[in-house]
Amino acid sequence: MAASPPFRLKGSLVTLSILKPLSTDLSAIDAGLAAKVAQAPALFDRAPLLLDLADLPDAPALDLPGLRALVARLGFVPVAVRGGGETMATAAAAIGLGVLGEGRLPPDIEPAPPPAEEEPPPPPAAANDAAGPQAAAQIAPAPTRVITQTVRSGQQVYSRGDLIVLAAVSPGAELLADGHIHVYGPLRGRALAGLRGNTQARIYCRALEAELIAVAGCFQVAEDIDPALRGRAAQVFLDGEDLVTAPL
Amino acid sequence: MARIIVTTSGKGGVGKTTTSAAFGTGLALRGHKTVVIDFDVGLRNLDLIMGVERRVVYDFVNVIHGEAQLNQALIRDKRVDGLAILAASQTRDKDALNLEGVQRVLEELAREFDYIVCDSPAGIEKGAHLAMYFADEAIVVTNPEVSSVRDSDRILGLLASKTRAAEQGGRVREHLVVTRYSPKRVGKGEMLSLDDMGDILGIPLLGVIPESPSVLAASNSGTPVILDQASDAAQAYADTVARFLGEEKPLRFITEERGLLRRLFGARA
Repeated sequence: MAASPPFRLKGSLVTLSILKPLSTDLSAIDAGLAAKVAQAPALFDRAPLLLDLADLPDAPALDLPGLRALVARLGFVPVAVRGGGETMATAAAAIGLGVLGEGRLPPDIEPAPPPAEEEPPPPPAAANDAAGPQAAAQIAPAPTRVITQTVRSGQQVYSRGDLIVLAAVSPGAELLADGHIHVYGPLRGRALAGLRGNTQARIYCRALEAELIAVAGCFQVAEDIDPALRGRAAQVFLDGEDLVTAPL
Repeated sequence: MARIIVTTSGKGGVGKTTTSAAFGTGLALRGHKTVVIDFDVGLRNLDLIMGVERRVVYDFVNVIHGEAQLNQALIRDKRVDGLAILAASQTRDKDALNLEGVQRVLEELAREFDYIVCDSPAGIEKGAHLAMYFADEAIVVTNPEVSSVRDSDRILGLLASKTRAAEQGGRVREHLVVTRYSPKRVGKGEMLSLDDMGDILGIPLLGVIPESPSVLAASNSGTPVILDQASDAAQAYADTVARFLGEEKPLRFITEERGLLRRLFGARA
């Protein structure tokens, strides 16, 4: 009599906040980070954090246990270390942190034109954890971002709330939102909704020609998107664990 | 007050230098004092295309570093009045350029010239960035082909965000010039149509330059193609300059030419 397996182990595409120390001065980092957290405490509370040491000159001189305690005190959950070489990898493992390989770093998020609205580029939001709907409820409602000009290849647009684009999205452009994404034009780039794990987020577009679509970390590339919907008005949402596309 | 125009594309080999030479010469032929600057440090070819490669003593980098005065580096064109060229350095690379130096040179040129055409290198690195940074207008040169369109789109994004005009809340005026256009290949579906390109890029079309053997002949002889008046490419560039200066000119060379016999006996479309 075969027992049903007690767990499933899956791969997933998740996004994490990343802290990149640029100096080994922990008190300076503490002061600066505490100020940032004070600006939006709910955003960073219990946020899983990756410590990326790639841009830190003289990484082995960093007091890693001290940094770990510092970020934990400010409410983050340090998860893993990346970069900084062999010494730092060993140090990370010694204090129970994961070690990630040198991945391709996504470019810093640039605000899309017009630049009139000066919003400090926020970090890509937290991982997709099991308490998805609960986490979504705890986040304070964030403003909707409206873009009225074509989002060009190579540009990234991020909204902590919903994102509305009233123009075309070129191939090679990326739309990122914690909430819903609406594109009242052809969607030819990538769209990732529900970045912080909001499984209720959806993507709506006038013409689905996307390179990649994702909700709360579950994604499909262009090849796998239902061919019947290509170029048509469509919505994308999660049905349980499956990413579903349907005509609008 | 001089207008600064950048010819850019992202993609290499689409016709930026050919266009800078032809367009700059065209402006001068219409009576406007024009200087064309090569921003492709280390891989210069504007001087070849303009036929002045045997007269380069000092270059743009020399002027930026204070090793020469601007009037020592400026080369006056012998064929066309009011046209000058500022060559790039061949022995150095793009790191020899800096923002303050470029700004100084442009301000000095603005006192004498009506138009400053900045011939950008390919790519999105420092040379391309500096060529577009101070621009008032941009000519985005694009081949009717998917990778060129993708790269031009990227460049449009940079023009809208990483230029002085954009940083000050204004915008660079963007113009599309399609080069190497072949109506026959568009008809066969081998090349993107003007509508396809307009759909993706969404900027005003300034001109369409047909694929033409006269372009290669011109660059090999060091004569900007616009001076070869019999050729289709030359006439297309002349039309492009006219449109830039505010004239209405219908697009030419965008439909297939049908010989008389084909028209009489060929199948109807």
